[in-house]
Amino acid sequence: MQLNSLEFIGFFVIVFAAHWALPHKFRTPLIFISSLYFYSIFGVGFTALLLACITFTYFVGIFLEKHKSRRNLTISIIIALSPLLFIKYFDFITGIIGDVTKFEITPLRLLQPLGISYFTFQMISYLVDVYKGKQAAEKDFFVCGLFLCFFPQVISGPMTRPRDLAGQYKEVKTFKYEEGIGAAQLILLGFFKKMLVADNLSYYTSAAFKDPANMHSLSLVIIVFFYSIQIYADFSGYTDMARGFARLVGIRLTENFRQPYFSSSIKEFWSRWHISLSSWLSEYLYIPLGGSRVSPPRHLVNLFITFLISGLWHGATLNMLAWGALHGFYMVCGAATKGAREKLPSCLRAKTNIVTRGVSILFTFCLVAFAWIFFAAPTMENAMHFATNLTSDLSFSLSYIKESVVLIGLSQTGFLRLLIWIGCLFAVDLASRKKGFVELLSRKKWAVVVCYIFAVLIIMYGSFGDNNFIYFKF
Amino acid sequence: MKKFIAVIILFAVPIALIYGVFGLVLINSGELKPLEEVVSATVDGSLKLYGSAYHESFQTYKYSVAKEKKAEVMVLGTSRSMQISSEFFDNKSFYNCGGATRDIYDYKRFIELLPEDALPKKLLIVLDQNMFSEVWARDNATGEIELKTPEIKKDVLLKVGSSYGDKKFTIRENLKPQDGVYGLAAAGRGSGFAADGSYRYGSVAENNLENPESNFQDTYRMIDFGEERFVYGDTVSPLAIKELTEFLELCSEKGIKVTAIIPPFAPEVYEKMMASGQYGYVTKMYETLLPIFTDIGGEIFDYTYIEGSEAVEYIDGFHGGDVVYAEIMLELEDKSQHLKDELSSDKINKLLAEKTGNPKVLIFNKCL
Repeated sequence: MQLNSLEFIGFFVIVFAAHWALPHKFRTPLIFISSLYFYSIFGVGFTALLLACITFTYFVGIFLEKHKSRRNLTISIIIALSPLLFIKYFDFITGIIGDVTKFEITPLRLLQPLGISYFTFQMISYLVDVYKGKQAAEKDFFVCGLFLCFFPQVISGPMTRPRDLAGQYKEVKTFKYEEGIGAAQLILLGFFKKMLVADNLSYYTSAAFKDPANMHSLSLVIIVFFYSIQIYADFSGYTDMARGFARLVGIRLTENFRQPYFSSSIKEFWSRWHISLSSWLSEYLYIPLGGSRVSPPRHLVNLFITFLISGLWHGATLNMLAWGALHGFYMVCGAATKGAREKLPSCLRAKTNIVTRGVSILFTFCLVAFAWIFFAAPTMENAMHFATNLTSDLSFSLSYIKESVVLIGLSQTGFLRLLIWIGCLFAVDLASRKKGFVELLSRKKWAVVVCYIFAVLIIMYGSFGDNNFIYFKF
Repeated sequence: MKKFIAVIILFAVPIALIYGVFGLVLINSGELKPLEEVVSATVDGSLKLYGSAYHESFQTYKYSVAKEKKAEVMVLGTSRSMQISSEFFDNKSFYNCGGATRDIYDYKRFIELLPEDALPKKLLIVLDQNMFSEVWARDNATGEIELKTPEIKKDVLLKVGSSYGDKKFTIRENLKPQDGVYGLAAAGRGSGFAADGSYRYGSVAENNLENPESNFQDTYRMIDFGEERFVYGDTVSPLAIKELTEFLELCSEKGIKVTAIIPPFAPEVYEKMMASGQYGYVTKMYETLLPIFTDIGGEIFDYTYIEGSEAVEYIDGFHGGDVVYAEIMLELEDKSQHLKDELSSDKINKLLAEKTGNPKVLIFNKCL
């Protein structure tokens, strides 16, 4: 059940109506039960595991508050991590061991519960916060459960910290019109990103990443560009929908994207992309490793490890490891050369103006887009084909450009149309970079016109297939 | 809360109206009519055009009609056989099952499935070249013929919007029902099957009349990379030959006279294929198959390359238009022992003489 499906909207209308019709004390249990029902659609067995994780988190949280010790925390984190490690990484690790030792271990090929990477990290952040005293152990089972299973965020986040959610579930709320309209606008924006931009692009990118042979270099470049936009539209579209639906039942989830492709450095990119994961990794991994308050070489190692783990979090494959390593490498290069760059005489340093910022943004985008190759390709072989053929036969003749578009499977009109949707996406990002989309439309008379334009574009040009969200697999 | 609900409803009303109009188009276009009704209309001759946009099932439809129609002359093949019209024939008992086969294995399966009383006396089969490539015959063997009645898709209403955005139909022309027309592709673009089973391309045939070669871009790409129907190969597939032999033996056993044609490519496409030097099986196909037809009984004619035909007469690189097939039928009337009494050169010449303004299409009586 996708967030943009008719089934989900039907489900949500019932939950929404019941939520606001019921007295406050019944609302949290209602959302909890609805969330379990939502999750059970993806597999009853998965729901049992989720429920077990919730129960574990609830009791261990209370225990940890009373018996704070590093040992207890370590043991509870190991237990919390074990389903994820076993289900997601067992085959990967044994595969590597098998390759090295030539000792064959039969892979388990276990089905991965949706969102397991997300709710495992939610468990860890809750337990660590309780241990550190940043949050009191939650006594209400339903509230504690919702830290992990709240239906708009259980599959793909955003990973809003339990400490930021606890108060929201307990607060007695009344429905606010402005909040509701803002939420509806966020949902519409999410539909626009997902159905008009991401899904229309995915038709071409998925085919090309599966079979990249027989394409011009320019075709590959276009596909990489398309995928970079697709993953952003897909994931940020999901986040907008999740935040919108959550807001309609009175819960504010954390922001996950802040116009990431307008970043002028990789460091800035990571402060704008998948913010909830980046900040999680920073708080619970990078800083505990020592962060930047260690020797310079150790600092670089910490950075690299953090991004390597980020890659592995996305998937137990060599491709994801390469993607994480590449970003780690970018960050290490940036950090290692920072001092030298700052010491440059002012005459050698580019002045910060619109041109230099534009060049930096373009350069950063290219680096990020190149790394997406490893994220998107189903095999390392296909990724390497992309990575090594991006410029091999590049030409700028008109016939070559036209052919490159045809080789993707696009007509000129189709290509132009996709560029228009991408342009719309960037225009929305540009317009909302200071205030955010909802605030931009807030109390504006023309807001309704913008919403109708979105709605009509979705109706007429949106993709209504069964395209999963890319981040569903994590 | 009341204000919020009121605003959302108000916002949704125009959207609901748009979908209401799309719903009306879906209903009036006959897109939602069950296949049984379309089959009945085809059999009783009241069907003018059937082209579903979202619920197409060529094999089920063609098989169901063929079973009921019990035609004496039948055409069997892929989409490359669908331009052969009953109006080329004198014999009124005709049905074109074009689109019912996907590979060489389907011919035998289709005849085996038909009840004895529905078997044709004369069968014109169209043998696509790619079916005889070793790679295609090995890798593209399909399973059994699919005879599932397509279910009405629950999200079809949502998809109509995209079709409208892609200019596949106009609302104004499709708000009223059209007699004998079933399906949005038929109502919107004039694309679909006529009652005799032959196909009308409708507005698709209007594409790029000024620059017909631009319709061949996908085909050129397939040739460049040896993909899909244009897979490379030197020799004619023994697997395909075996399958064809068994099919011809089956027809011989059942007393069906078989005429086969190898369908045409657009001349530019053929020349590109030959220039590549990768299509040995295409050049060897006729000479390899001829003795098999001679031995078992049957006749085969090669129209892979039709000298003098023009790019503008083709829908794409490998689908000839009505005119191309009319000219093939005219030649068959002269050359084919089995079909000479069935085909009518007078009718074909008359159709060819009528000016349509589009070199791809002919004006048939029984279509829109």
